[in-house]
Amino acid sequence: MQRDRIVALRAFPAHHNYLLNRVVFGKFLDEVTERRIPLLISLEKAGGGWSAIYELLAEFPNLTCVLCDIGDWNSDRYTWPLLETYPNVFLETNLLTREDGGIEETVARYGAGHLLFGSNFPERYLEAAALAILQADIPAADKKKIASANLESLIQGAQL
Amino acid sequence: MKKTKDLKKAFFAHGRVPDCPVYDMHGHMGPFFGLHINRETAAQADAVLKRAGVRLLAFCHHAALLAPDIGNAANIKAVRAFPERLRAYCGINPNYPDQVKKDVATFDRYADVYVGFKFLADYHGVPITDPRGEPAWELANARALPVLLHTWENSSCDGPAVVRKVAERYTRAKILLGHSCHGAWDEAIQLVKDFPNVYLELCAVVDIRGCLERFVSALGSERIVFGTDYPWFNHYYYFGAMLGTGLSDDDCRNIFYRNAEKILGVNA
Ligand SMILES: [Zn+2]
Repeated sequence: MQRDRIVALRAFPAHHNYLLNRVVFGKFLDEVTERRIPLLISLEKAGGGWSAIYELLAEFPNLTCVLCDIGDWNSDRYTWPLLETYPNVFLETNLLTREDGGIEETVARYGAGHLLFGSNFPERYLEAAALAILQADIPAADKKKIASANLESLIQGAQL
Repeated sequence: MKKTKDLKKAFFAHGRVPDCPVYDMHGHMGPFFGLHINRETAAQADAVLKRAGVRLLAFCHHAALLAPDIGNAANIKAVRAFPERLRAYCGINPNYPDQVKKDVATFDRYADVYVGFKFLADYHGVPITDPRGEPAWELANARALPVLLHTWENSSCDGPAVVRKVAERYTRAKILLGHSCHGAWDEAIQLVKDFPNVYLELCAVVDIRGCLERFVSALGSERIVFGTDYPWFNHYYYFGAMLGTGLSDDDCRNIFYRNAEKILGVNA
């Protein structure tokens, strides 16, 4: 991974017909957790929905897990308990920026430290996500965290 | 006023452009079942609109559409509290025909509130052609008022085939296709070509890359209006999407405000 400059992993369990859990991936995910390698999972594309995410994190509570495409208005009842429970859960923001007040509400409750900028390009416009972060009603320092600083520190923290 | 040259640059620098106001022709207000809306109140809406440079939000309160015991009183209260930036569509739910008759009969009493009518046929489970909704259609048609429809592909209540029937029947009402028959993009384009009083609205459309570009290349930009379903979608996200299409500034201005001003009879 280091040689090829790969800094994170993605998983598509339902799509590729496997279960992302301790029985199947115990040793592997223990090492991923230990080495703080970010694992990206898209709620839209991974399949399995929120219960699969909840089961995975219950088994690997320190996993560095980036939840992508988290859904819009009804996703906070799934994401907020995770942010409160697991120290290394991060949210990718493309659908938070699309939802009115999504960024402001999340930052007000949990700070900006667990948000990572995303756009879902090429399905959606880069400019849409970018303008929504630039103009969000949050401090400039928080915008910088979301836009770049949080991801940079995740990458630096990973032991490849 | 001298017009800003590069809209994209200006929106990214300032978030709003005073000589390019925005008319958001598709909004709502209030709580909604099964989910959490971040900013539900009229006061919150007014503050958001002001900050984003939205000159007017034409909305229909969720209660007017889905809580018949409250009904359009929610619209009236909100607009009268914040008349500078809010106007309402009178919500029509044909499941309550007596209420429809009453709302249409008293429409003129609220000339300061209403810009037209709103049908949410998929949610009401009643086609837009249903006779119980006719009083609203008749008035809209007689006065050439806007009627905002929720429209979605394959819907038996408000899909393109049903829209065609009302467009044939009501040739003067300004029929705004909320969500542009979402998914049935070519049918939506054909409806605009076939009926001079039909317009496309961009909520849940312009955030998907390629849709608006397709509309403008088929139709030009004069029959398309901007909308966000506020407080569902975020205005800046939608501005960014508009500016990400690569359309000309002239096309963007048509969609952001010029077309809406014509529909609403506003003198800019
Ligand atoms: Zn709507």
